Amino acid sequence: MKKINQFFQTYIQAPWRTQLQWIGLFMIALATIGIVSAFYVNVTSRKALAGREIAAAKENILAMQHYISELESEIAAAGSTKIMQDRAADMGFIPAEPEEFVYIIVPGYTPKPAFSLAPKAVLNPATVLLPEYTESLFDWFITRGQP
Amino acid sequence: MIDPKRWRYQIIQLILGIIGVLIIGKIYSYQNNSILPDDWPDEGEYRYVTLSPARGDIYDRNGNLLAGNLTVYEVVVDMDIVRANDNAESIALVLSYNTELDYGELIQNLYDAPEEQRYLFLADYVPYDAYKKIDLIMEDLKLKPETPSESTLYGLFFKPHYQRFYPEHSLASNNIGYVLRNNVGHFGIEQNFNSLLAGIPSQEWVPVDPNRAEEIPQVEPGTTLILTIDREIQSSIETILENTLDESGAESGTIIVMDPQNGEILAMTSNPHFDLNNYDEIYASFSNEAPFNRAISQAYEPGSVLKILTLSAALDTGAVTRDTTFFDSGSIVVGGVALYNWDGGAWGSQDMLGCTMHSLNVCYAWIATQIGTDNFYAYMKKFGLGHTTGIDMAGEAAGRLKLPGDSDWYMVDLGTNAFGQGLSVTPIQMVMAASAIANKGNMVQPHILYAKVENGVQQNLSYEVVGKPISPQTAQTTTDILADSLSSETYEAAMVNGYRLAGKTGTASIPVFGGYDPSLTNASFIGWGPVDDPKFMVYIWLEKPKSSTWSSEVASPVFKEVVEKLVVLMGIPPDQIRLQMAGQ
Repeated sequence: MKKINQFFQTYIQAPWRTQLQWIGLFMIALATIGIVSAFYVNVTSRKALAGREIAAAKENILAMQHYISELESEIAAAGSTKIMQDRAADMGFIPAEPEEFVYIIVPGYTPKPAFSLAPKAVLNPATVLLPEYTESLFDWFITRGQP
Repeated sequence: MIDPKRWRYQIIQLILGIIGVLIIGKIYSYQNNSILPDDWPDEGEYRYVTLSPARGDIYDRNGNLLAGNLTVYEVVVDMDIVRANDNAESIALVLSYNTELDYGELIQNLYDAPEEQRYLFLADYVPYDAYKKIDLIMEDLKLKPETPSESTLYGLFFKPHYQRFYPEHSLASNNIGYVLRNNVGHFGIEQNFNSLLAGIPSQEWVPVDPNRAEEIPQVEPGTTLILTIDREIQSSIETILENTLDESGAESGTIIVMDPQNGEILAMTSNPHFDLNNYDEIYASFSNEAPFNRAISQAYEPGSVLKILTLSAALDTGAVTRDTTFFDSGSIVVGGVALYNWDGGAWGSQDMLGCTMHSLNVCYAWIATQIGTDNFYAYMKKFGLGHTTGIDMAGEAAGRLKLPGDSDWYMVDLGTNAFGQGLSVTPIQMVMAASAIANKGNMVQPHILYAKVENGVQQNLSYEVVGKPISPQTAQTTTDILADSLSSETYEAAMVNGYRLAGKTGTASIPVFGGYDPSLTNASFIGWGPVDDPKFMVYIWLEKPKSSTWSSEVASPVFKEVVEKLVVLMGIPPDQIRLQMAGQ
């Protein structure tokens, strides 16, 4: 007890120590504010950059959609009925007549399926996402705990 | 005692404090955009934008694009920038050189723009190719910062948007319809499914703040439609119709090809055709008020093709059987009015095959009297006459079926209606009614939409049986009579070697004020095949043909020509081979 009292006495008698303590506290506070601010700036700047990238990506998507649409139309125009018929005629092809056909049975032949532009709509779509993508950490612990 | 070194600590404290405050101040300045450009948007700033989704594409049943979109550009200049750089002449020169815009007009517009006007609209619908050329020049100029400002294109902006494009031009134009520049569909598919195809255009305030980029809406394109139309069949029947009109001198023509088992329209055409990319041509074609699609919009008196419905009704009610005979004396009086055959002759004793084969009006008027007035009209209604079919296209007409009790119905109408005069139907109504005969008594609704693609998912549409006006046995007997009739010499022009087909001609007088025109007719033909498993039903209507007034001479050969194309394009082997293959 005596030693502790001596320590405090010594400390009180040396005011520069108190000052140093205040400086230390101030610097810790300053450093904390600085670090937090730096993190904040870092995060917000990254968010702003990501936002700019998203906006740019959305503009790119629009531009690509315009471009794709343009190309699709160009391809369709290049393969239109009249152009294809003219090309066929230029290459010496002539339309076949019914009596010119020879029908044969090809074992294993399956007729061409109906044209499909996208997957068919299903009333009860099967779950395609694995549980890992949807369950919480808590759910995961419970699942792991089960036999 | 005062520590002589205390001032040192105070100085250190002061210096560190200042440094710390400076660091935080700098961080604060970063955070508050002090390094961002002057025009950097405020957090709460919004931009008013028009979101125009791409109009949905239209495909034929095999995936060939019938209606798509081109990208075109609106040209706008920022006059503040142009004035600052004094580059109006450069802009006008580059635009006029790469587009069809006139240099003189451009430069005048640029110089005449009011001082207070900032944005000046110069042109719209500039094609993609022209835009790309100018864009390359603009990119090139960016790499040459030493370029004098009056030679730059600063202030020139292009805003892309869509324009409807029909790669097949006039093919299936009567079915597709067209879209004006306001993105509103007119006629056909474009009008009927306008709300689906157009998507949901909107005008919204969009945040400019990049931190709110996720709030920028993504525009979903309109629904894509897949039609039941087969491009190759459509092209073939359009060519056949064009040639037929030239050869026969008919004023107009219509051909429909439908799958009688499910109502899918495989091809449908009527004249005139239009290049759907050429608005001027469309308006010019409408100067005489020609119906856009006669197959569904123009009702007419069909004549003897309607006898197939009368025959079905008579067989179904039991009023006659296939072997019932009728003695044709050359005329019959119904409602106090004498009715005659097409040739004015008397054909003597005829069974139902004979009456059908020779298309005897007198016999059919008699059949109608045997069915009875109430029954006859009940059947005609069950066949859908007097009502629209509900086909999924805009502009369908209902035709007219006068009924007992109507102020303009007379007893003689029973007799004339039996052979297709005194009532009016559209070609599509006749096709739907006849589908009941071809399809074992099941009448299917004609439709042109095969599937729609929305949100990346394709939804195929099912067909609908809209009625069962006759029994399967009646349908079979009627089909047999029509097939036997078609096999006779009378219909030689319509026969196709190797295929058993059912069919009937129709030559109808054309009503004029006070009676019927003695010299003009409507020539029609309805037929289907192969009769045991029908894959196609063909309807032909030629209005006022001049080479011959008789359907058997002008419409029957067209039926044959169409069927010869169909069996090739649809891969239908002759009956004998088909049955052999089915047996193996």
